[in-house]
Amino acid sequence: MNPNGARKSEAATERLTAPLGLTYMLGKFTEHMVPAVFLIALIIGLSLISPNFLSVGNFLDIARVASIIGIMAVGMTIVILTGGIDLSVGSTFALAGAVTASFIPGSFSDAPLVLGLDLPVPLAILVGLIVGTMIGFVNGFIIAKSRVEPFIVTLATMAFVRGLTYLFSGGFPTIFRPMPPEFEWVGQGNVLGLPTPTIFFALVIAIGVWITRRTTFGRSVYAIGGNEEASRLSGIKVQWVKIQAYSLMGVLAALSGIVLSSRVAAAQPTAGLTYELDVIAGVVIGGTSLLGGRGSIVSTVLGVFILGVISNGFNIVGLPTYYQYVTKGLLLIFAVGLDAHLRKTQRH
Amino acid sequence: MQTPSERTSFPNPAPIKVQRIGIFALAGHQFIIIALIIVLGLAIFSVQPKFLSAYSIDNILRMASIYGIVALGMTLVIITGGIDLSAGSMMALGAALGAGLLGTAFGAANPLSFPAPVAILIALAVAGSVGMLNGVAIAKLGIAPFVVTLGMMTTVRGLTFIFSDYSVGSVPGSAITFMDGLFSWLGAGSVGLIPTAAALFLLLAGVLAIILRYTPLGRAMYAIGGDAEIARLAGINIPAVIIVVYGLMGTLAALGGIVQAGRLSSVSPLMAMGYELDIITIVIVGGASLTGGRGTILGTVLAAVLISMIDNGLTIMNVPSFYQYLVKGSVLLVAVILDQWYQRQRAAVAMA
Repeated sequence: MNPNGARKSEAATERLTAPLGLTYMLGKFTEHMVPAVFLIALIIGLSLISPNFLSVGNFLDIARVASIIGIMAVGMTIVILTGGIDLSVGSTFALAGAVTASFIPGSFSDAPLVLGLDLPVPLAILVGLIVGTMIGFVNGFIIAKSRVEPFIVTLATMAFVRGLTYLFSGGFPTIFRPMPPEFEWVGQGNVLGLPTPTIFFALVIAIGVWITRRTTFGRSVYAIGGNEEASRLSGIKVQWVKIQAYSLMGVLAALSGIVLSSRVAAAQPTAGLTYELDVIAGVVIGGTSLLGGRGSIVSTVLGVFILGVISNGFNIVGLPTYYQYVTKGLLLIFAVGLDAHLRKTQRH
Repeated sequence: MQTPSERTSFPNPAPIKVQRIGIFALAGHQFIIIALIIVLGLAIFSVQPKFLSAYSIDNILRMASIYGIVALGMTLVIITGGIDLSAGSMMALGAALGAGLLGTAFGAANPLSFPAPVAILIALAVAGSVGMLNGVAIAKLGIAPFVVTLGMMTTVRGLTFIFSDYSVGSVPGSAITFMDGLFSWLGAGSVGLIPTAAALFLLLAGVLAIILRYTPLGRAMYAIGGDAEIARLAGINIPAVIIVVYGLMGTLAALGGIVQAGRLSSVSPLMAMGYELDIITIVIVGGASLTGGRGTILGTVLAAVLISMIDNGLTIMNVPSFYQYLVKGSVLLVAVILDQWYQRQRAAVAMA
């Protein structure tokens, strides 16, 4: 029996029995300390450099931009907690966006297929979400049944689904002439002054936190990531939990793709290219371990906002995008290295 | 059949045992790839006879070599149980440095100007050092290879953009366009009848195959991927091996990028974006396992030829490029599931 696994499942049990109140949040602060301190330092630093940074409008903008990656990152956290990974999210994102867009009345593309399809907006969105769920289900099914590594399975479906997207859209972008107001609301609207994508992100976070902390499924996710064999022996339906986790990832990737296609008023077949790596970076910077069993949705939200604030701050300060790449890359290595180091010193 | 006590006795038998399993398991796998190359080759030829023209074969060989040179490094990395997501960025960095340091880029703004061999050596050395940094972060700091190289992927891409702008000095993100004899020879020239790139690829493959099979360093790579703890107990200096492996990976990626640059006489800072996943696909189709300890140079060489042949065949048959995604995805999945099935059959036979 490896001691690491024991420690992981202990942490998981503790998490599940703890209350959700303020004391709990404060108690858990230490767990999220590294990313939280970093985020706060970043915000203070940027507001000193640029007075334009610290404004309600700018923060809403950060939240709106971060929502696209953030919605997917919540699903990715659950997948990574099971010890898996999903590289196909960027492709699912594109396919769901393309499918929904083509079903929206008023959609236009040079591909003849897209013109013939029309459904009421909610149904069009539902079709996109179902497509995403199906891709996730197939991922989960292959991973659970064939025992091929998730990295390889989703690498293959990443290429495959991207191919389907091109095939479906004929390689042409889908635009709207004009866009129905209901669909415009999904990506460009407001609720009580908050951008709709942010509302979706907040809802997804709330549901994600509830699922991971309060449901049998959530418990099983942590248990499988901690020790898969022990979970199986204690009666957890490991294969089914994995299938559910990847299906959830699929539906969230689809939601994110649909929101983006509304926000930019176009569904591109190249949408979401390499997003998988941005999403994984957000999850990992927050402190969730790629080995599975350790991490949380809250950490991921911090990670996503760290990346969002960096992008926004660099744009405001006026540095070229390249410096963002360098900073984000080094930050990823630094954050995870520091986390590993702190964990090592805590043990002694 | 070994008794359990024999199986757990260490340190000496461990590396040898791992390697022997590797060779035996892969013999069948390699046979399947060769059969696929012949069957698919004949199938494509029967639809489009131009497929076996000298021009088309030359194309396939050059493409297989560029991907293949990088895949050789990736094979070593994956054998040790690691992964390198920075390979595509490293190709771009190597190519941009090599081409930019010539100082002959159209609209060159940088004062540096080196002869081609020196420029290439500097590019290989820099990319090798960045690769070694990957190795240090993985082996010394204990960060997962996936995370380290994911971070390095964005970092190196950013540095490539910065250097490209520095050496061209025009519109940000513009390509370095240049002309150079040595680069052209590497990318578009020939040694006798063989494309230079292919000769280089085979030479490197031969050297690495010998290193993997006959030297302590090669055996150490298999041992670390098989079981790092046993490898450590067997007295293998794990950090040193890991740093060397990622250093080689960086150098080979840069070389692949330089050959590509020579072929096109141009380097875009966006070059080779996403190639890391294509290269990992080649290595996995070649029979390596992401859990480490398994994989061969021969498998990777064959897989590089197979994948390039499929790409080229679909293009020459005028199949729209998006079907290539479907085919690539399917090939990878079928290869891995077949291999899994084959492994289980072998395990069952061994138990009987």
